Amino acid sequence: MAHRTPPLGQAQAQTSATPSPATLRSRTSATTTQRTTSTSTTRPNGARGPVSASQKTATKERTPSIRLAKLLLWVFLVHVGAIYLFTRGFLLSRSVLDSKSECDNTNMDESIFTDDRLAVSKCWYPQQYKKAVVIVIDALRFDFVVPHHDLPDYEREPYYLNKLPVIHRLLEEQSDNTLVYQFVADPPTTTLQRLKALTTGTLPTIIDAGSNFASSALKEDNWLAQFESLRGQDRILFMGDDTWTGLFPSVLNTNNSHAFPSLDTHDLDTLDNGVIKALGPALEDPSKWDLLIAHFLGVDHCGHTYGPNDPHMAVKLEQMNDQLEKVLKSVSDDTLVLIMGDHGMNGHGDHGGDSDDEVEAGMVIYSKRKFLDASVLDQFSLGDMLRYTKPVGGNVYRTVQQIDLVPSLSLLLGLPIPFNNLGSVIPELFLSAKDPKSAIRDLLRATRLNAAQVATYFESYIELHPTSDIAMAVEMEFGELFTRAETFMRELGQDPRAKTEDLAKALKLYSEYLRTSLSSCKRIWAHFDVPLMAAGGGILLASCVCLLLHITIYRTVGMPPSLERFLAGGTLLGIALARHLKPLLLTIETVQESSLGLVDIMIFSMSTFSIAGFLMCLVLNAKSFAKKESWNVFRMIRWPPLSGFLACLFIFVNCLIFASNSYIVHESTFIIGFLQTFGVIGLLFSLRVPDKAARIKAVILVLSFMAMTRVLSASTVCREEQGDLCSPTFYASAQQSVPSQWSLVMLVASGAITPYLIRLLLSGSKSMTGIALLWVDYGLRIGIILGTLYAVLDFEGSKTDGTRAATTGNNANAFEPLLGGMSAGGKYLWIKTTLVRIAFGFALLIGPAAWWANPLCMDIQTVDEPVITADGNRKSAGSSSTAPATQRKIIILGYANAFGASYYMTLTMMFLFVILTQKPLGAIVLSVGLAQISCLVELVDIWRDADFAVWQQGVIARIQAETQESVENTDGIAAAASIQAAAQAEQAKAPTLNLLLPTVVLSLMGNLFFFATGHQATLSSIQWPSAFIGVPTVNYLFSPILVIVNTLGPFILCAMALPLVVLWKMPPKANKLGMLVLFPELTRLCLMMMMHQSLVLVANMFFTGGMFRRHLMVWKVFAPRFMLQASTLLMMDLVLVTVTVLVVLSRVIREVSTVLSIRVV
Amino acid sequence: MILIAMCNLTVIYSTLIWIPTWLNTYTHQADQKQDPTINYTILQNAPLPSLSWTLVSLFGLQTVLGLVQWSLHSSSQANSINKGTKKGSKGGDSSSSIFSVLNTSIAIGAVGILICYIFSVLFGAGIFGQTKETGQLAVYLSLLTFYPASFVLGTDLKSWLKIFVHNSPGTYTEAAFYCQGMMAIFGAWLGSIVIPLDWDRPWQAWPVPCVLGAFMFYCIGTVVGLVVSIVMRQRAARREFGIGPGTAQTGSKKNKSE
Repeated sequence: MAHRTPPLGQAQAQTSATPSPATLRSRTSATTTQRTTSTSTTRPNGARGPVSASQKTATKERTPSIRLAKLLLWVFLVHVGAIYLFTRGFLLSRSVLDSKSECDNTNMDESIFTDDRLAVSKCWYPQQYKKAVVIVIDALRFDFVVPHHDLPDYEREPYYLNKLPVIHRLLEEQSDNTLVYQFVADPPTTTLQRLKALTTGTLPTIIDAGSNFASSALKEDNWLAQFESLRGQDRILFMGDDTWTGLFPSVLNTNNSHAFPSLDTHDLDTLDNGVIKALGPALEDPSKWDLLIAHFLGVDHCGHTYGPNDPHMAVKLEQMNDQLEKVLKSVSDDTLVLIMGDHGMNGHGDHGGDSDDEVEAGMVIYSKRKFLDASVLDQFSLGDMLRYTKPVGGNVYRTVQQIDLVPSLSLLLGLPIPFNNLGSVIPELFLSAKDPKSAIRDLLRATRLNAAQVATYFESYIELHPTSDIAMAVEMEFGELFTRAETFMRELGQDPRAKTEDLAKALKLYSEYLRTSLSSCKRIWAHFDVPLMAAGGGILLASCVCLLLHITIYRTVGMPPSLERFLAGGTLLGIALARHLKPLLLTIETVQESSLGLVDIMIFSMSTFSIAGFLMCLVLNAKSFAKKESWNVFRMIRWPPLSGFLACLFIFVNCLIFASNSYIVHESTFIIGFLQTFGVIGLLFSLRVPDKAARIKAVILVLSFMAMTRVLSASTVCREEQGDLCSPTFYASAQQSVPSQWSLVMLVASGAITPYLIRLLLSGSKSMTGIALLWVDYGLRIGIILGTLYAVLDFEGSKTDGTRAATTGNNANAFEPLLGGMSAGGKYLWIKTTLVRIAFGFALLIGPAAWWANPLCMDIQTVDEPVITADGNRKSAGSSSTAPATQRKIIILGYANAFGASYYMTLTMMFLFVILTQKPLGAIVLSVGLAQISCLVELVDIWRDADFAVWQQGVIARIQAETQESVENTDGIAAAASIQAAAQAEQAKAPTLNLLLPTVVLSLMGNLFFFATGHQATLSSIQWPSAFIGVPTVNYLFSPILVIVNTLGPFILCAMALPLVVLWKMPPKANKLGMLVLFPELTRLCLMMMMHQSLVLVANMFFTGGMFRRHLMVWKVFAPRFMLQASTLLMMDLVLVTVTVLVVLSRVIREVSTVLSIRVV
Repeated sequence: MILIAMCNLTVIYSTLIWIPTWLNTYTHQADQKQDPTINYTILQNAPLPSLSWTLVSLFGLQTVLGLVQWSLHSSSQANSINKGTKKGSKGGDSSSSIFSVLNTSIAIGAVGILICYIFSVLFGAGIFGQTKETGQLAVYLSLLTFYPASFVLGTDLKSWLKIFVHNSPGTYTEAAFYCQGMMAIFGAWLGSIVIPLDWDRPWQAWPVPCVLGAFMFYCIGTVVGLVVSIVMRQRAARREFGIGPGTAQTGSKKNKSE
């Protein structure tokens, strides 16, 4: 109890009121005495019991906020652990290596083949075919291709069978020239992913964590790019699906390609007819191209629309048959023809998943040259290099991996194998020689090149990621296989007459290496680790349950007494038992397959045991709770009030959003439904406010809240899935990412208005004093002006940059060279940079420092006023100082909003920081957002007052009724006593407005602002240019921070604004025990916000990882949304723990409580 | 006297039950009109003509119903005034002619359309685009909520607030309006959920799910309103008869708990 000296900051000292400290001190001491007496005399009644218990343990003033921070920190850590586990199971990331394979560098000692008959090789492997025709028929399932002769008679022949007779004829008549394969794709079986795999030879993962998220162009090495660099762009001819041109924008352009939109085409024939139209002339004049790619989409569309077993499919396949016939007829001797499906389709004609029908596509390879039968391999006991299908239509076919095409095609065309390839060459394609022995030799050469390329790839991968799972697998599983093969090869030496058996053995070693490495990579990259995902989701869900229990049970107590000890104990126990947990976990069968490391188990056991500790604490405390307030249990079960019910409903519906990709896609428009529903309910609340002035104010506030919501939702960038339903407004046009001119005009306007509005808001409670005067009028204003100036310069600079070439001749605008110089790389760049750096300084250094020195927005005024009219005109400061009989009075300005105003200052500092990182329209949006947050907290305050007034009326009425009864019964004194008792008893049950709904709304507003500031839940909508605000060259400390703040800034603001819901206009008035009970409510709200976001994340995890992990849209829609939600949750947690509670809240509360000498618990 | 009042009430109930059946036929017609058009034309234009017809017919129906209700209401009010019971605390004057009543309720209906329009825009309907569709929805909602209630409530803002804001309808008709109106709005709100789904169904075009939702919940609301009215009437009847002090107490308790 030692905090007696009120630290009077500069603002208070300036007011030259000499007697004020003394009076203040006397006032504070008066309240202290009152408090001490009250604590000693009044026995804590039932409801306050736990508070007094915690009061005993609490020794320091600042304990509650530290305790709260500890609790939140625990939640944060549990969330981190859960997200880590889930992410490790779900977001299997593979780094994309940008290296390209080069012709003259095979990393191989090729001398062994020097005197070969194929020795003349310009590139890795001597070119076998000059030309290639690649016909991709989308969703060409394997059984569409092969003949089915022995159908049972009673069964009508499905429409999709036996519709490609040209291939059947090839198999019969030219079986030596034709190879038919079952072509096994890796899931996800979507066209984009398949094309990537078919050209690069890589396995798909959720994120290809490459150097560039933003563009969809393929950056990895691929045979198309290799072909272009060796033969030139004009030798390629492409026709078909525009997915290709999206992937290879630099290779396939308008000169050499006929691309047709694939997503917007809804009929079956437009695209195919276009391709056919282009294909005809191309086949007639084969001198124009060396590589012809035709991608037909009709079969896939037909599958999606009608399903495979439909007459349309027969028509479509027959059309394909005609085209194939044409192609096969026209090919020359040195042409390789590949006909393939990129994936299959399931029984409904859809694809994307990993069922057999979806992954098994068909591939036909045809050449005028003869292939040697693969049975030659059997002669050398190499038969196990080949895999065969189950009998299909009476025959058995070869089965190969889809990515095996990549090395085979590359080598046959005389290209280097793409750097990232993991496939292995298809043996038959290299067995073209007449003599089995030299055929084996050729194959060995190809396989060896292939293996060397794979080994090089792993080497450079490990170099970049020495601790990755791949590095471990190379070391443990397959690294040595390659070394062994190489050693064997070297032992064979230079001898060109080496025995065929030895060659076969070498071949076997290499192919074993390739096969093992591929299967290891598949395990690591292409398999979701379900146990890890389940562990992560489960922990998160358990933490949500804990939070829910905490929120519902500890209504009146912030935290049970020794919660931290339980949590810490649980964590330590978890660490101790982690080692013993592993064998226990491994007894479960599914866990054995997962790559569960010790770290994972450690995290798992720590979180589990600390959650168990939490529950244990709950159980132990529940006993004492049950004794003291047994009625509480029933109160808990009763139907929640409307606002609480709505809060639950909002959370529930928000979770259900993730059940459908449509809702995720349209979330930006969906989110306003919540807020407007809240608005309508709020309107009803507001209309019920008894006081008329307050009612009108509340109605206006609600309506402006709703209007602002609608206005904000109008600002958006569209994601491509939204299609016509969305028109982008955030940027100047859909194709650009520059702000429009009018948004800059509005930015200037909003920059001028915002400080004024803040001033207005604060002076409503006379809080426009102290630090607020300095910060709002100068700091914030200067910061906003500088930021606006920066945005304008940036905009003008970028504009001149673009048009400079056109206007160099007539230099009409005198500012033009200056502005041009300010764009990136210009000589006046430093001006711009300095401007925005100063603004950042205001937001992050000067503002917070000044605030920390003196956080209060309170001031003291001494007023001499006549004794008689003591409570007449208090606020008219010093007006009647001439009156003789005066009394010196002290008015504390800003008393009513002591907590809120001071807290609001830091919110505006954070606001300034965030808007500096935004685009112009984003800054406007956040200004509106700040206004909206202010509306919300004002509303909450009005409702709280109204609630209290209504309750008070009720209590007064009841007490009056009771006194009347008691007056009738007994004499006056006893009645008065009973009134007092009744009043006290009622006081304990004073209504607390249900603040859970505003909390959920605040957290949803974060989403609204996120979408309104030009973001979407896609990786491509991240605003990368914000990395260079104030940082001319990329900086690995500040640039990521800037991008993160730009992206998650809306959530940061909302998380930070949370305590305002409680603190705004909460007068620091102590109750009879000399305490102000704030922390229980604050704790609940923080936990509520965390629970909302983490429940949403749980739903996200459940749907994304559990139900839709093989969904068609998982890569495009679900996974990015999951990443957004996870980072949102972590960011909100982090902001709540550190900034909100630990820094700002504790400072505000400590300062207010010392100055006013109240005790905040 | 009580018998007469009960007769009046039963008439009102039966007319109230009528509404859904009528509406059903109309919207069924609308549906039948929709289906062939949708199959052959582009999605968005299809439901419009049929919906306008529904609106016109609904307008006529609601007008007739409202007038009947108004006459019943005023007569019952006159009855109660004659009787001198406490119930005649309504602001509306029973002496006004049919046309003045019609005028006021059409005016209120127009205001209701405006309010519904503003709120549907606030809830995300296009600010500039698709005004016709939004307007139709607004007209429909207003016809289901504001317009019928306006015949009885008139321009008495206090009773509007009392019923719809404080959730405390006093009489049976008010209870019916309250349930129907609230349910219709809730239905429109609920109907909007299916709009973003990518099923590409004709009934997902903009105002259709909201209209259908409002209609369905309006029907449910009618039934609920009926039940509530019956309960209220029974309670009132019990109170009026004064069967015993015990029952009166339970009645007041129930009132409190409400």
